[in-house]
Amino acid sequence: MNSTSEAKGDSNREFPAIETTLLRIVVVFRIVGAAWLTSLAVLILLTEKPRIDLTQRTVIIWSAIGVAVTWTLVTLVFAYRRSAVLRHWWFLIIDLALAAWVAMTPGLIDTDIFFAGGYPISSPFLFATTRGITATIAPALAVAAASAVGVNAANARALEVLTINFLSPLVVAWGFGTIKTQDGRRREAEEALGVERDKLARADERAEMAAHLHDSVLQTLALIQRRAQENREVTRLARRQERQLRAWLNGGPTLAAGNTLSSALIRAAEEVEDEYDVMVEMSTAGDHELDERTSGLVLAAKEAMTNAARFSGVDRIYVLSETSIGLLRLVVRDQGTGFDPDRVSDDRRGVRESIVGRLERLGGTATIRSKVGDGTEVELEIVVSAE
Amino acid sequence: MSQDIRVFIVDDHHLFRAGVRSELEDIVHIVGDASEVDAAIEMIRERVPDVVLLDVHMPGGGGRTVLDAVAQTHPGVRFLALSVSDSPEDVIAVVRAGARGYVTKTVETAELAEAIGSVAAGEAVFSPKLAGFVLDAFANALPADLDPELDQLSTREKEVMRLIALGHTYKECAGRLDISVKTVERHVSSVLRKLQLSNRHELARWAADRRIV
Repeated sequence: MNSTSEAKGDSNREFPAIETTLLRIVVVFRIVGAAWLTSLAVLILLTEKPRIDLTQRTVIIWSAIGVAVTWTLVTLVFAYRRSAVLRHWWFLIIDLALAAWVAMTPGLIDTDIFFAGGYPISSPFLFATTRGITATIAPALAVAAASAVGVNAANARALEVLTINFLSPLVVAWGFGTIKTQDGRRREAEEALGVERDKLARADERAEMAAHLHDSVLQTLALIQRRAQENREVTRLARRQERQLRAWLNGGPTLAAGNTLSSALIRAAEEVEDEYDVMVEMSTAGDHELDERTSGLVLAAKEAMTNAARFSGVDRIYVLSETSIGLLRLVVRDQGTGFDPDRVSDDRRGVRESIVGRLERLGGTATIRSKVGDGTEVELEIVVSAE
Repeated sequence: MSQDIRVFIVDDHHLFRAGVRSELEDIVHIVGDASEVDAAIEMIRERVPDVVLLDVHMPGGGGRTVLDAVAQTHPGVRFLALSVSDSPEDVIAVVRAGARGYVTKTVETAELAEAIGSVAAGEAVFSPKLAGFVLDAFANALPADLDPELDQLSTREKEVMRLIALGHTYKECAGRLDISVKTVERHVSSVLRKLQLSNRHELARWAADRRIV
């Protein structure tokens, strides 16, 4: 959040923190340079015998002092206000022109003392801070050339001044550039860390909410189901609510949403539970992918569950599906009224045929065991290719 | 059921504790209840009930902490796990930690009372759900390097588990398999022992797989 507001701030406060720091270094360097220039210039005025016209020399020296001190103050004010003005090309060009002028003044008065000092070089430093290394080359060259002119021609230091004044801004620009890049990387890393932290916080929140819901809502739903034998509708609602909540708590697709035999069986059981207000106790040992044949098996199992729900007279149905190598075995059982398989009424025979017939078409077997008063058990088996 | 079975209830949900208490009060002797792990351990050690009804999902380390702590000092106290969530890995975990059985919280009062009686008598209580979980856990083929004595179910044990998963009582199992109820109980106890002692890699992997689901 901090970084974005910094970047979007008004034009007076446009600098990222690291650039403000670097700018402060440059401004301090400039203040020191201006002070050094002033003291050397005063020294010249007091001690050196003028080699050109005295008035002319006084004017030139004071113009250098005036420019350096005044412009240093201007820079200080803008830097203090973190003003974007310091980045503007027109400001930098004026800055450079003034620095070049100051650098040349020692040559104009033919002095042995190169009193321009460090002030001129602070201008390419400013370029280095706000505009990077490429933009620093030309100003560095300009100031270096002006300084070389400013050094008394008789003095052999001209080349030295040229070299130092040209190279040091480039070195500074490179150093500042490195610092800025690293700072940028650090801030990116911090931002990424922040995003990650937010994500974690959200996950925590979800876990906490899940724990809370588990402790309150699910427990209450369990209670309702225990106490609501008189009111079957309440049980049904509670069961449906419990299922939805469980799915949500688990986050993402649950077993019931999967594409396997077990998932399809669970879905079928849930449909029967909802439609006929019964409870299906489902156990699945092992699993198998859902294909044409296993889908058929699920349909037959659902038929058996529906049968049990409609005719058995009890509200609990047990289902066990077992997948072992090569064999799928599925049993649907109720402890209800049962019937005599030899003397079934026509509607029941129809359903029964649909189970037995379907299994035959799938190349499997269906066995229905029932006795009056002793429940019903439907066993479905199909052979699948061993994996 | 016998009025002199001493039962302790550990559940962090007040409503549920109160509900179970009022339902069971006439059937068993409820010696106390607790909603927190530490308090539960302390009170169980002090009152030494026959059976502890233990919610699988307790905050602060959960039911397992209570189980482990009590088992160290009072190995005679038996645990029956109760849970509102039927996530298999949680259930298998408490059974492996020493619970003598598991029922879901939607169990009817009579069934719960019966289960308490069985656990008090030292039997294992396998609800249809737990039997299904066990079959699933032992369903995979056995890796060669494991002890078949511990790491797979015998044919008879599998048959018993199947019948229980289909809602048969022990007595009905005995009738179906033409064996005595005592033998059924022996098979069930043996399955419980295998579940607790087996180092079957499959069991761990199975639990991990389920966790993802």
